[in-house]
Amino acid sequence: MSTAVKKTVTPLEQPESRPNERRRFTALPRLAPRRGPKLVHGVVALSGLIAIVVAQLIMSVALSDGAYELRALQLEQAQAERTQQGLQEQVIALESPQHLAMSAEALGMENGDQRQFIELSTGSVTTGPDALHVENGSVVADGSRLAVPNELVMSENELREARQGRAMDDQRQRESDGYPGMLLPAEGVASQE
Amino acid sequence: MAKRRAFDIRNSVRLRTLFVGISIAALLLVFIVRLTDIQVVRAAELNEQSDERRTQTTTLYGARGDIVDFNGETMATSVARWDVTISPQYTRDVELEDGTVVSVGQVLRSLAEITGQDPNAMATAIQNELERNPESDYLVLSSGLTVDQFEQVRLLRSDWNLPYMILQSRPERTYPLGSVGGNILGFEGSDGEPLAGMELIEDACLAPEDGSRLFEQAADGTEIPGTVRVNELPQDGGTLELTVDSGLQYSMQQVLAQYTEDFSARGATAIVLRADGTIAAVAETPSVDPNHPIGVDPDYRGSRSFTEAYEPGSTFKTLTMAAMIDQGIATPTDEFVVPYEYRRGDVSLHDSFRHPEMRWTSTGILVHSSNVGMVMMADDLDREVLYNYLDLFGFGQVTNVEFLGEQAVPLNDPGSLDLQTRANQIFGQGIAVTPIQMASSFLPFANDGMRPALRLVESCTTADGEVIVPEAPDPVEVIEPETADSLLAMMERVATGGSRDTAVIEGYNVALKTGTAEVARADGSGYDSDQWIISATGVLSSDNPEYVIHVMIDRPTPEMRTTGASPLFHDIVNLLIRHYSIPPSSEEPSDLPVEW
Repeated sequence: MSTAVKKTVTPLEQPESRPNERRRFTALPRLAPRRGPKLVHGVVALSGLIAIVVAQLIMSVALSDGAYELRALQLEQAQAERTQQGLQEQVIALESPQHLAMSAEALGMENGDQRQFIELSTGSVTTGPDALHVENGSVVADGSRLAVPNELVMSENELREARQGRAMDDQRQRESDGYPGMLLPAEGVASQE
Repeated sequence: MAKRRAFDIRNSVRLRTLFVGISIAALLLVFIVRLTDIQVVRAAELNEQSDERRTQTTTLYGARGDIVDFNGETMATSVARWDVTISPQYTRDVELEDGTVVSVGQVLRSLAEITGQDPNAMATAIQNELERNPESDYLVLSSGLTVDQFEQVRLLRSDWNLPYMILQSRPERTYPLGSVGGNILGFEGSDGEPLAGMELIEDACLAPEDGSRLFEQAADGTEIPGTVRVNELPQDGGTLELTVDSGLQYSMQQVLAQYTEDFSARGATAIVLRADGTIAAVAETPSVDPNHPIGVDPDYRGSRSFTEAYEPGSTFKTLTMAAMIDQGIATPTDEFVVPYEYRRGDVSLHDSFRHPEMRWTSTGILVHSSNVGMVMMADDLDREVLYNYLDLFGFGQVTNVEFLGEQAVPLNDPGSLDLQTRANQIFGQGIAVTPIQMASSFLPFANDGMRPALRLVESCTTADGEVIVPEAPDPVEVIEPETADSLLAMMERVATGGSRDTAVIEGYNVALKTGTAEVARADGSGYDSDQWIISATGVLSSDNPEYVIHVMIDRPTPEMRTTGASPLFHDIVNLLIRHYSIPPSSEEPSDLPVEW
């Protein structure tokens, strides 16, 4: 099939076959004015533009969305860190030697008995140190205060005392500053100071 | 007419063009001038203004380094705390959307309930601030809020939509062990400045470098993506490791508190040094709780072991005895006849207890702590030589720790002393030392005559993981190893050969020397006969020296003075043995003769 077509086309493609033919001048048909852009081009360009704008919009929305998400997460992280810190502080107080000793005492525990040492070479057993001279009893010295103070492990009594002390301090401060409705010493009366 | 009109028209068109042209040019000029003004002349100022509105600089706080003990136990760490600040001029009643009015009083009452303050005091503070400055924008209402309190105040603020209240976060130190080692650790002021102890001395290791972040923000404070201009990350502080063992320190403080109470004393001190010169514990009562420094008298906020000199008394005899033996002037078994009193020219002294003439050896003189015997022995001791020894033992100079306010207590020129003082110094009177110097001076006995430099800092580990170990000076050769051995054997007899049996721990060879010293009156008018410092210094154990222990009780009630410090010494050594599970001595105790 293809060879047949080729044969029929060949003569037309050989202008040399008519070399002496006189050329006639004819006006070339005027070039048609460039045809205006087709609708499809417009659509493509416009949709491209729209696509770009939309993409930009989506991107910036996504970005700022991300920013808000980031912020939310950061807030959440800060919250979590605060929770962790709060718990950590509780652990610190619970782990402190004062609290351990107080709890042990509350459970009725006492210092261990004398230690025994076994001499491996001879197999003999020797006894460790004797008892302390002091009554190494309570970690809470005079009923309310820790012998080795730790504000983080205040006993309840101490807390109460501290609160009272602070209230007193506040009251004194207020009186020295003066407050509305406060009774002032009568003028003309010599101050005691 | 026509000509004139034509002329007029042409002219007017030209004029009009000209006019419009000039107007446009003028307008353009105005714009250009304005533009230059804005863009070039005032650019910096305007940018700054706009930055102020759009941007937000946040300080990124680096964490201050922890202080840990020898076993890695945390002794100091940082936590976040919050301050409630208000703008007094805008502090007024707030109307909520639903029409209810939240009064300032209501806010203060709720706030006070959370923080445990007095609402009236708060109101007074606001009023006073407004009186001082009616346009005041800053007043700290309460500070140091914990996490729980912060959450409550935050809810309060957002529920009532209070525009005048701000919560500011700041790092604060917390000390998990309380007053355990508080004297050494030091503390920070309310503004976060280190004020005392290792916090201040080692601030270079602990201090963080704060970073900052500058970005543009939306109306609600959200960071606008891609607008970060400055982003300097903070640098955390280093971790400071001390040589102190906090567990031991706690037990010691507990015992000291008991002794202070039993002896009705002003305070008590116990120092434990490892033989290599590292400080295992410096326990003092009363001691500051760095969580609450103002809870104790300012006198007790530092470490008195480094800062308060005292007259050592008889513990000092060990050192003069060591000098004499090292010089070959005496041996542990030299024999003396020791009377109760000693008089020679202007010099007059006597022993602390009445006794007939005793036939004591050198060891016996140390065991019975005879002033007369010591002075008799020291007749041949050149004071220049003695002072040279005192210098080698570390007196008259600060220790390698260079603690805050540490005293050197310079030694006198021996040539300038009167004869009585020369005699008194042999048994530890008329000379002042710090407790830490006293403890350090016994290190040569535990170290074959060498005195290593004291160390309190084990290392500083930077945030990058680099471990910096401070360099310590070389040990000082003080006495011959044989002299150290002799003195250990003699001091063993102090516990077993005399009346100090309260210091004996069965099975353990312990070397010690006790001391009772009068306290000089502050006005220099001699000694106060009712004020004493009783002390004991020694080595555990004498056959395998690992620790040097120094204990003292400051101004016990007079009746308790005669008990001496040996029970306390016994108890501290006992704690040490329990704490480190030290097995009993394998060698027989010394049997040096005390009498002849």
